[in-house]
Amino acid sequence: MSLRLNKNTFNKISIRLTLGYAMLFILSSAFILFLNYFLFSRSIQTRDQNILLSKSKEYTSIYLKNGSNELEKYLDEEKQGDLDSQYLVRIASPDGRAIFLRLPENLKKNSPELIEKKLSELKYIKGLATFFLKEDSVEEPDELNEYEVAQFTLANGVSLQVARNTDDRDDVLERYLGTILIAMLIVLIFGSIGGFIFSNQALIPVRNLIQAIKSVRAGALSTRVPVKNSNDELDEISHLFNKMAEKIERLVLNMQETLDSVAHDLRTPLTRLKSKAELTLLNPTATVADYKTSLVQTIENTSEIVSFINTLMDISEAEVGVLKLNLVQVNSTVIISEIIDLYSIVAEEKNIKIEFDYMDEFNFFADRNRFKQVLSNLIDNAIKYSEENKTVRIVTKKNYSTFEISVTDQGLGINEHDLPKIWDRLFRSHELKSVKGLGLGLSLVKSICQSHNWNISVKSQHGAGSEFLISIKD
Amino acid sequence: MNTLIVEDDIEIAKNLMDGLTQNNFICTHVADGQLGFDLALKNQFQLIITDIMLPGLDGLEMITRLRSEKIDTPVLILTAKRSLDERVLGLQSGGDDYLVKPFAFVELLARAKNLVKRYSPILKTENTQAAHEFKFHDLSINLLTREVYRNSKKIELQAKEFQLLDFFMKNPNVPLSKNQILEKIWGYNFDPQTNVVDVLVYRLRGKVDKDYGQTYIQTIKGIGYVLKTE
Repeated sequence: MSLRLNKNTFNKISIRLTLGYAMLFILSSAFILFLNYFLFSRSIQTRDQNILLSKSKEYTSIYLKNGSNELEKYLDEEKQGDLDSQYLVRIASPDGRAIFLRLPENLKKNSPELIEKKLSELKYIKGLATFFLKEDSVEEPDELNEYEVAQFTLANGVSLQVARNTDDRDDVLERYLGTILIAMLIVLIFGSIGGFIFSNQALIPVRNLIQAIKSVRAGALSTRVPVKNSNDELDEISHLFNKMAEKIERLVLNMQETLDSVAHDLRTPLTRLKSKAELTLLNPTATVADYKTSLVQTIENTSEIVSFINTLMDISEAEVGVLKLNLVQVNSTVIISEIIDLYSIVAEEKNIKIEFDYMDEFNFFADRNRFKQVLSNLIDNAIKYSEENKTVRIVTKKNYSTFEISVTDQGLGINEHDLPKIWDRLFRSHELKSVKGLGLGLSLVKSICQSHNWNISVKSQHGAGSEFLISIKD
Repeated sequence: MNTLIVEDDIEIAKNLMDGLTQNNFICTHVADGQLGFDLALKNQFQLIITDIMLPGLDGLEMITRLRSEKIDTPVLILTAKRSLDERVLGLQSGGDDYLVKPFAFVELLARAKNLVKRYSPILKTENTQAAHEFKFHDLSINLLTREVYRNSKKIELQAKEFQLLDFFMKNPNVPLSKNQILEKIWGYNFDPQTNVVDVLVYRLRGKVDKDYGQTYIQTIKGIGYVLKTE
């Protein structure tokens, strides 16, 4: 049911386009063709009329030169030459009476009085007029035929009329009209077909889009529509759809990953505290001290869980681009010194030296707390994974229009195989399983850097140490 | 200290009340914002502790209305929402301080006491005495001369160690959490996942407690540290 509905909705647009296009095509063709017909008809009419006028002048000059007998002879000769082009010729005296009348063969049935009557009653405009007569026709004896007549008046008042029927002309025009109507029919057919094809072609991207949207709704998040790069509006929609689908896919994947992390990694501290609590309760010889221990561990584990959730949410927000940053201008030396201040005590315990080389000092925009999180993480890692008596070096340097902050340690280093994976959530290299930590640190670091549009990279040699570099564009 | 607690989770409310009562607070509890508003309007409370997500009237709306009724009792907001925007909104609505759940009880206690002190005229006058010298039994600290003595013996402390002792001496017998110490001494308001506080306390103890018999700086496991006699 829904399929038909959709097809119908689709067809409505393509049919509307088809009809619109065909209509336009047909109407403009009709306009042109009929204009053509009209002009043609006028033109041959004018031609016929000119012939009549020149004939009337011709006969007049013969009559004047040689009289009516000569004119008769002349007209007979003409009749021999061309049976079809017979003219009705009448010459009238100044008072309107006919003094010469010559009828074509097919009008012989009409009485001269009738013709006389008709011709004398005519009103001439520019020497031209029309009237109707019945012809001797076997097929249509009662049909009235149209005659065109031209009049030429001499100086002495004598007038000459030459008339001819419009049959020839009418035949031509009839055939021409026939041709036009056939042409119109062809235009109609091709116009409709063309319109239908064009509109369907144009709407192919729309069809693709409809399919893709249905597909995405059904769960196939990696569906994309083909893009022609033709820069037209439908192509732009396709492009935008793809971008939107990509974002949806990314958001859903991110959400799935987060939920997976949560499910997986909350279970460890939860299991720890639950099992400790249960065992304490089950222990018949448990002392107050034992209960205390159990409660203390509960607090420690729940703190770990809260911390984990907070960090995970930060990473999630940063990755989908909704992490709120409170940007202020900070001074590199000041803020890094504050952070080093915190870790210097911890470093001293392992006799690790923290060197801060502020080669170049710069001001940049950052969310104070987030920047502190990033650098704290890097420095903490550097100290954690270094042995005693080593050095951790922090350098701030200007490299053309980029500010660079590097944290270098002489610790365990990262092996080549693990290097690209260190930014993944929850990645802990096998060697580090014993070291305390959640594995979210670097993932958070990367997310925060990305939110600020900073670049972070790492160079490392297994066994020799690592260097983390943050690049901030001015 | 007359306190109104507006919280719809019964367990949280009960724990809060137990803890506060142990510390000489007198607590009244309601579970929705409308009741909270009504009570606060009618009674003279010295502190209001409220959640945001409440049935009836929500916390922020309740505070806004109280402020428009010229009730200026200090308000401590407890909430599960941790975003900065939420915090700003809470303070703009008229709240005075903000704690994100789950919170450490000692922190809530410290902030509650602070708010009461700040807004209480009587306690305020008590505080105006010159406070640059603090004593705890045989331990003394002078903030002006930077001198520390225990049992008349002078103790040399490094800068951070001095700051930590100062914090303890100003809060005798009050448990201080690691977060509170972190915030007070290094200005950090997030947990940097490091044991720096433990290390510093250990060092301070080494200088102030080790050779003196009685340990004043004590550890309360799961809670923090406290300056008290055994």
